[in-house]
Amino acid sequence: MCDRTISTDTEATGLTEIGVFPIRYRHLFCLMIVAVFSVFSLCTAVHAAEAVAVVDRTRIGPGESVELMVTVKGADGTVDISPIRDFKMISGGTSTSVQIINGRMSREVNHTYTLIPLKEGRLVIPPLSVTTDDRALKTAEIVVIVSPKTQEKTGSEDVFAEGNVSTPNPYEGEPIVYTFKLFNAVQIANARFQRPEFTGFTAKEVEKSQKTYRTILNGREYNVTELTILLVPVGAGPKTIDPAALECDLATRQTTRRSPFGMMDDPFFGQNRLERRIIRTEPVTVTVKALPPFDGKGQFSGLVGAFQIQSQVDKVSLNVGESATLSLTVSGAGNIVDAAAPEVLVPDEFKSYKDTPQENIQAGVNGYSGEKVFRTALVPLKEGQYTLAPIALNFFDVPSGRYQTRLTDPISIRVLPAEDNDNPTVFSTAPVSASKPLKKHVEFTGRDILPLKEDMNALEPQQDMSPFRFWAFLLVPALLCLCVKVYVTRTEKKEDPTSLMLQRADHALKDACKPDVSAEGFLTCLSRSLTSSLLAKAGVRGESLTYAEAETILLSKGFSEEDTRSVTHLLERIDSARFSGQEMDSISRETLLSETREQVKRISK
Amino acid sequence: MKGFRYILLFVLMILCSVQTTGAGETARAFLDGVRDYKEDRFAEAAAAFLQIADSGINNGKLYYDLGNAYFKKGDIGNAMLWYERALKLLPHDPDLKFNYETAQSLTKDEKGDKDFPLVRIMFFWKYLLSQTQIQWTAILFNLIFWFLTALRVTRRKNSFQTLRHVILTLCLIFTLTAVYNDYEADFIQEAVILPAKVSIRSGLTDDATELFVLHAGAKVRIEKEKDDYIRITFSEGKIGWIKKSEAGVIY
Repeated sequence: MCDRTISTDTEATGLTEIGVFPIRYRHLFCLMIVAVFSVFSLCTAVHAAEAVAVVDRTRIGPGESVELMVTVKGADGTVDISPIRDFKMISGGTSTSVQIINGRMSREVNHTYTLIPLKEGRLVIPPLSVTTDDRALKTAEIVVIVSPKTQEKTGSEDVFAEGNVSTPNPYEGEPIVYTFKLFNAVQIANARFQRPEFTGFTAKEVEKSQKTYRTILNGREYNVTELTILLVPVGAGPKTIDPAALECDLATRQTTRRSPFGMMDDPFFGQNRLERRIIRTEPVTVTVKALPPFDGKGQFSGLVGAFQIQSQVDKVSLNVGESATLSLTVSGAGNIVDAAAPEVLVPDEFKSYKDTPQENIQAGVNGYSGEKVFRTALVPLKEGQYTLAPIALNFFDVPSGRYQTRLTDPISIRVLPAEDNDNPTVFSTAPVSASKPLKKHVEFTGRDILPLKEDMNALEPQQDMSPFRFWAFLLVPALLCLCVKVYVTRTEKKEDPTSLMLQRADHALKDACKPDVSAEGFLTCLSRSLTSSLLAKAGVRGESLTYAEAETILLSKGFSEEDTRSVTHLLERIDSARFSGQEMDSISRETLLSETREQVKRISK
Repeated sequence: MKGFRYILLFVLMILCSVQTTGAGETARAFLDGVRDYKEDRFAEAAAAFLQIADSGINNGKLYYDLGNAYFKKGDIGNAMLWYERALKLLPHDPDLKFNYETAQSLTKDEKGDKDFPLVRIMFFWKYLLSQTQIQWTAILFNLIFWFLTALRVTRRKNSFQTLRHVILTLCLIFTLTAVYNDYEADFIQEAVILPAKVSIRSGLTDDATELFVLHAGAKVRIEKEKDDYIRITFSEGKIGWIKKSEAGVIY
């Protein structure tokens, strides 16, 4: 479809000298790269999906398997193998492969199935539907010829299997036993048993039924492995049990050329080879007979086999309101698992509550057997003498081919008036343990659900919190905490001694500039401003400084001696004017202010 | 301008009356459902409650009533479905738990995937609390944590260190549980089998091979949807396709 060859000739493309080639060659190279990618994508795009089904061989013998492979090319697909009626699928798998040939990428998905034929003759694998993402495909029909049996198995084959039933013509509901037997004269390994589907039966594998023994057939010794499954037919008519299959590895001796050394031909040194084989049984046909119509009294219990019924009541004399337990035990062999509670005719003066049946049933190689106990709590409402009528159990007896009825004995119950509760006993002290009444485990005597919820708030929609709201609720406290942190950090900055003292120096200068400030106030402000700026430089809080301290601060901060001296001199002048009460005219005030401002500015840098 | 005001007033009145009528109809349908239930007309009761649920009201009590109506009607599949839906909203309701267990005892299939008791014990809060309760608990612990952190910032002391760590751990546990519950609700869909008996098939056709059979009330997990079919998992290894209409999604 896309048989295009992409030339990779280096001379033509100039690839070898691309680093030093002129610009036009670079353009040519880019164009070619684009062309290569275009061709690749074109190839991939036009490659349509297709489905092909093949088998490994078209002629097989009975008991042999055939390998069916459905290949879906160019897409992923789902294969529907349900139309295959002539074969039984026993295993399957899927594999994927990707190939790039001549720049063409192809992807294949292989669905592999191992099929065993259900009959002989010309068998058909019909066209199978393969559903891909965008279309439905069909495979071609395949015909497989299954040649008839040519020889008897017993005695001639290394491994073979048999499946049979205990009764080929059972009645509907009559349990039968299906036995699978594997005969092997050679060693087998990795065995995987696939039991039939048992369509038309209920099936249960008998626990611990697997047994192994040895037997001789036509003079050959076989190891026999036996497995038992209990079947109960559902509905009448002919039914076919599909073949059971066993997939295993057969140990076969490898035939090699005779070695020049006799020792290597010794069986001890011989080599075994494992050969994968599928062993299957023949299909088994069972014709299930319908039960004859029931024309007896009461109702047919649905039981097929041999059964007994017994009744027992734990109290034959009781007060009104008390409860007695009626136990009905149905025992025997047959389909006892299907036993329903027998009909009990309780007098109208009683209330009855049924309990969950108790089972003790075993599935053995002879079928189901055991008992089922049905308990009913009886609560009398009125005093008197009552009789429970015999309870009937109608079942179908297989040996006689007729319905049988078993009856329980009638039961008499005496009901006394209710105990007088109007005069309750009064205890003067707490009851001692010796007189403690016997306590019983409280059990349900009836089955019902609790009533409706009639509140009108049943009509109010219950909204779950949306994830957005949930995350918003989680984030808000975090954001608030962040705000607190920011606020605290900012406040902290303000409380830093350097910034605090600088602020004070600035405020003092501003106060000194006010027109209504007195001479003393003016000088105090200048002194405070200068002192504060010096303290800010030192990074400490404070109100006053000696001249020596001022010098030390400035010198330690890298000021020259001249600058230091001028600052201390200014401070001295301000202080002497301030403490001597010297009058100052506006010019000298202005001069002092500008000097102080300049020094504060220099110190604060 | 005056005319516009009148029109606006008229529209508001109409809207109010429509809303009142809607609420009144819902209440009437609910009361009808309750009356039908008490008079043993369970099919009619279920229809009345279902009409309310279909109108968009999601309420655990309403779902519980629907479950009761279906149970009494003998429809175990739908009863289990609505009890399951109610349990999502009212996980602690004793009446609901009792009725759910009663209905469950009447289902035929043994539970597919068993709950591991160890998981239930280890993550007990997930099973004890509803999603809303878990969310509010996470929010509360988160609030306490940030409050203590803010206190630490303002007091400039490393106080409540251990308490903060404990609260933070609890907050993380409940937050992660809430997130997992959201994920579970969005990506893990479960459903209940509705008809009395359903064949689970290997393919998307009615004649595909029957793999196994499930009965009404069985709980399954929805794996994916295709056309009118869904692929379900009942238990490990028991996978197959059924029609969408044969299963009710638990939401």
